[in-house]
Amino acid sequence: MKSFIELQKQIAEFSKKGIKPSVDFSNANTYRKMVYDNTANALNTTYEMTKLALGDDVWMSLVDEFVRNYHSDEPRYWRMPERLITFEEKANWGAKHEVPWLGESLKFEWKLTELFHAPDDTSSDRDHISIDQPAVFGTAWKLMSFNYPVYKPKWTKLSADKGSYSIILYRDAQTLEVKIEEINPFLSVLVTTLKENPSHSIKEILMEIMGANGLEVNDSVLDSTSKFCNKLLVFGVLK
Amino acid sequence: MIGIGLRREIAHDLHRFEIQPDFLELAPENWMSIGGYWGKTLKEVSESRKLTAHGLSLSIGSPDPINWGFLKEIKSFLDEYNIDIYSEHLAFSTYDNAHLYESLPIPFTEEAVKHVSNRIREVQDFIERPLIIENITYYTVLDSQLREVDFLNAILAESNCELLLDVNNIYVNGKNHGYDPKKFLEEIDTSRVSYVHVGGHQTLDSGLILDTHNNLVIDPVYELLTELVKRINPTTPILLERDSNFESFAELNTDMKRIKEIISPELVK
Repeated sequence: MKSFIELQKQIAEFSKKGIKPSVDFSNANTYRKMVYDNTANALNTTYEMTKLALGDDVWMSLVDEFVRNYHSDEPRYWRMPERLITFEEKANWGAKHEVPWLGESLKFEWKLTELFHAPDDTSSDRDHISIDQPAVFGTAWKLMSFNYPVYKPKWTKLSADKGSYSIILYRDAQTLEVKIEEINPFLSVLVTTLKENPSHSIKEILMEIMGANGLEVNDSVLDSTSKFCNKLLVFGVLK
Repeated sequence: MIGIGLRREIAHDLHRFEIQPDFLELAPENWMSIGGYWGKTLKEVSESRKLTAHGLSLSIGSPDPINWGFLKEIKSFLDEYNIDIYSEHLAFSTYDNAHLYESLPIPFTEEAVKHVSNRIREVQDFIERPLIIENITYYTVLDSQLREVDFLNAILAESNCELLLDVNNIYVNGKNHGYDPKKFLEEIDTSRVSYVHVGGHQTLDSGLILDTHNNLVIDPVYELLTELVKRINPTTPILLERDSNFESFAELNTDMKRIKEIISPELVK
């Protein structure tokens, strides 16, 4: 007689990996289908754009491989699709299948889901950002940089699109939808540096970056930086 | 009391129920620690209705260690929303410390009774409220040293826990495994029943019945419910399970009305 642990191991391994059990379990295929469908459904929903860009056949081969091999200690079903990102990285799946943008596309779409569900931030009592003060960041946003414009709904997937792209993803405080703001590389560096230096004023950080690049800080630069920071205040990125 | 599952598809359509649900059941894993649109929705519905929680990921029947960190989050969530009823599937959903995101059956053995009962007691102590265990549907029998009903009764007695009796699951299991659902109902310890589920199912071409919660509840299941309510506390909450196929609200209203007719016919016109 097999122990209950051994029996559970056999049905679990068959359901997830298709490893044939030594015991003849009736209807075991039902569990295999249910486990597969649950995983695939969550991935299909979370990565709708990536699925479309890959095409059904390539997408399904990725899902098949993932279902058999992924290991998720995440109890929350809606967060399970995040595991596809680490799976793709470890398996180097995109490079092997000549889809070099795959990892970036997965990361972008996962962040849409994660930010949509992110815990609420405390609201800001400021209606204006002064660049003479340090930047205070909210929580429901993310700066992302890509080599491919994976965030554009109709990008071509051609290597000609390879470049340097930066966006700020943020959850709109009014509509609670996740929105995308494209930013240039300079602003990307500015936001990153502000985040890393919470005790320095925005102006100090700006001058440091400009100085390091041999550029002069004039009134026009200060004005556009102030406008940018106040836009981030409206987005809820700064508070 | 009659309730309905809080599904995102209907969360903003609760006004369309002709018989208003007294409570809403949610899967805590889908709602805890979230903000934004759905966090706001949860706050709103919790202000007008009582909530119950039906967990998906505890994996009470697993040989893996209990995930105490996860359970701590569950407890905080239950406390935050004043949820007294926390139920889980008598099943396992993790293997090798990895989630399968599906409820798989436990072998009906004495060894499993001891293992599961110990874990139920530990969890109840930790969450400081009853852990209500549900009879699941199972499509394969891993070991039948005990009959299903004896297995369930043994766990209820040994762990001193309460039972979420799913009458559709009794019907489905009876048909799939060749036993009389009414006899099961006579033999199960109904004094332990503190929560009831009723739902629809789907029959495959092979004849196998799946517990899909996407159809109208059928008459034989209502007959079982009618029998059950004679045996349990009349205030026991009853939940209509519906996980998909929400297009027809008429179906939901039909099922809600039929449940109401069974538990309090004098209140239904």
